[in-house]
Amino acid sequence: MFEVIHSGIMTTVQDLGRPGYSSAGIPLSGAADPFSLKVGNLLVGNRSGEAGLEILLNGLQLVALKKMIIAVTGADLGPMLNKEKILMWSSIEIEKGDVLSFPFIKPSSLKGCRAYLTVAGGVGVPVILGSKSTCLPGNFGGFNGRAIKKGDRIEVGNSLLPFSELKNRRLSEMKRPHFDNPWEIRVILGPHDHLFTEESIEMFFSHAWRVSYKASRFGVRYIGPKFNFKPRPPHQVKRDPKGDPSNIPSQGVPVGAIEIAGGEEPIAIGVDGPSSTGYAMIATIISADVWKIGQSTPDDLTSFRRVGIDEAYQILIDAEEWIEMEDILRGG
Amino acid sequence: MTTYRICGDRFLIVEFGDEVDLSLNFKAIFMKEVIKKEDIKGISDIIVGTCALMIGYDPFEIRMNDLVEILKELEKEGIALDKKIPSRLITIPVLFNDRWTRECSKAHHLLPDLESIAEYNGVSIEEFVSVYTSTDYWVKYVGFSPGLVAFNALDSRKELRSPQLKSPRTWTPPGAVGVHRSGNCIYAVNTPGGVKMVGRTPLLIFDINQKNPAFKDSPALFSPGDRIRLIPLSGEKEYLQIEKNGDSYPYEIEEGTYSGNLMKEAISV
Repeated sequence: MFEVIHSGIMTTVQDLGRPGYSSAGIPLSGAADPFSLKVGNLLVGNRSGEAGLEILLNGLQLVALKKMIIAVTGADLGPMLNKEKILMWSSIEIEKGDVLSFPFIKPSSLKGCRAYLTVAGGVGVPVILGSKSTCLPGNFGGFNGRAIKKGDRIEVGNSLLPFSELKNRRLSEMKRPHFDNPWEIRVILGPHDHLFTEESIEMFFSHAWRVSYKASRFGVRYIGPKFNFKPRPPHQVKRDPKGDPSNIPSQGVPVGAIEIAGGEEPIAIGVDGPSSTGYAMIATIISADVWKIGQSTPDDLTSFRRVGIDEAYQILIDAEEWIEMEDILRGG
Repeated sequence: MTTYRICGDRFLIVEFGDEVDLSLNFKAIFMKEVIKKEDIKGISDIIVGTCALMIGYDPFEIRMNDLVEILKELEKEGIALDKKIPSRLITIPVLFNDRWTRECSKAHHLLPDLESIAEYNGVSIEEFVSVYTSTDYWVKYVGFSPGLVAFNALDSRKELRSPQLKSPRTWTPPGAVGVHRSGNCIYAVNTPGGVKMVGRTPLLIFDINQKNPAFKDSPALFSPGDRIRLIPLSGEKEYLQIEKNGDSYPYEIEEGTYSGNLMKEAISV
């Protein structure tokens, strides 16, 4: 169990989310960087889909209310235990009264922006529609439907394994993801590439896009040149002469779709994003790369690289064989 | 003409047209029913849009090309307007020109929306309410934010319009009824929004706790293809009475079906 001393910028309870409810307008939610959460869970002996805390940038401070095994994975935000830096991607035993904190570090000197705190036994919050994830747009799930705040007490479940088996486990260096800026994000062209001029599509793939400060779990905006659209078909002009060419009749939008609102900033839809949109989507990020928008930090540069669907399936198959238990090493 | 569009490695978009036309929406909902009945292995989601479906699939179970082949076969069986789909008629009480949406506008330094919408449509507020509640509405889709329902007048002569706010609100009272340039919506949860508000319903249309039996199948009250009848409330007293008893309120839900032909008749009167 933990008590929150400082909430930090935003800390939420997340597991792998709530798939299958988009038709009720319920977003996927879950960890914005699921790989890091899954590894964190394996390090502390949990099922890979157990809930942990997703920590954005700096400021979080927690005090342990009992002996626990924890791990911090994801972006290295410089976590400290009682004022000493702790190892990332490693399981650590902590004692009652220990203080875990994420000090202030300039975001521009960080690689990635989200860390995951996992704990043996998992974070204990109610399961709603099959998930413990916080749904910020619906104000439900996680810890009382909101980000945690000062004074909250966070329950922890029972460890699946004895602590003696869980101490000092770490992920081999080779298997750790790189949060290096500039990002290369692989996408499949479409569904609405037919609405854009060829020059604009080429520009989308050749430009180095800057991540805007409007970056959150809802979506990430990119700063760069404007887009041009092909002339609208006559029946649409007739119906609405002044219509915006980036508008489409509302339709479903998945996590990772890149919509071009008003022909201006591309927006990559995040895990808490809307379930439908009225803007043309130029491309969709492949499943295996969606986590990259979850670690993209304002001012990072991003280029989008086109892949075909069969290549995307193969990348996904390779990514699913992401980790074997033998990659989790024992001993310091 | 149906168009199949690739949307990443887990979704496929099936477009029945590119206009806000309720008969295209009917086709999308009908196709959803056909696909559901077929119980195709690997389909994870079917999300209805204004004139399209977004179909989620598990690439470890089925690949896009095979899915498209199956759907094309199903399409051959006919998505005709003489077919019927399940369509419930759900009655929703609304307090127009209510205190809460007015206070929300005020908090955003905006004039009350209803006055500007009435003016835009060239009617008084009373006339607006009278026209607005004189038609049933067709639910096009549910979503954007949790439980939000998007709908259009079945009697197209009664359709009222409004431009959207230039700069969106940072919050919206749950239950707010909104009018925009191509339809209407009811906000289900507190969310930012750019659609102007005309009133508020005391009923929940999204309940994650699923307490009232109206939510037994889903936390969202509405499904695409349902019809909505809006009933004006007399005042705040009646509003608060309904709101207080929300968990046991007997939602007026009439089970039924609707055909594309009925819709065509209704929208072309």
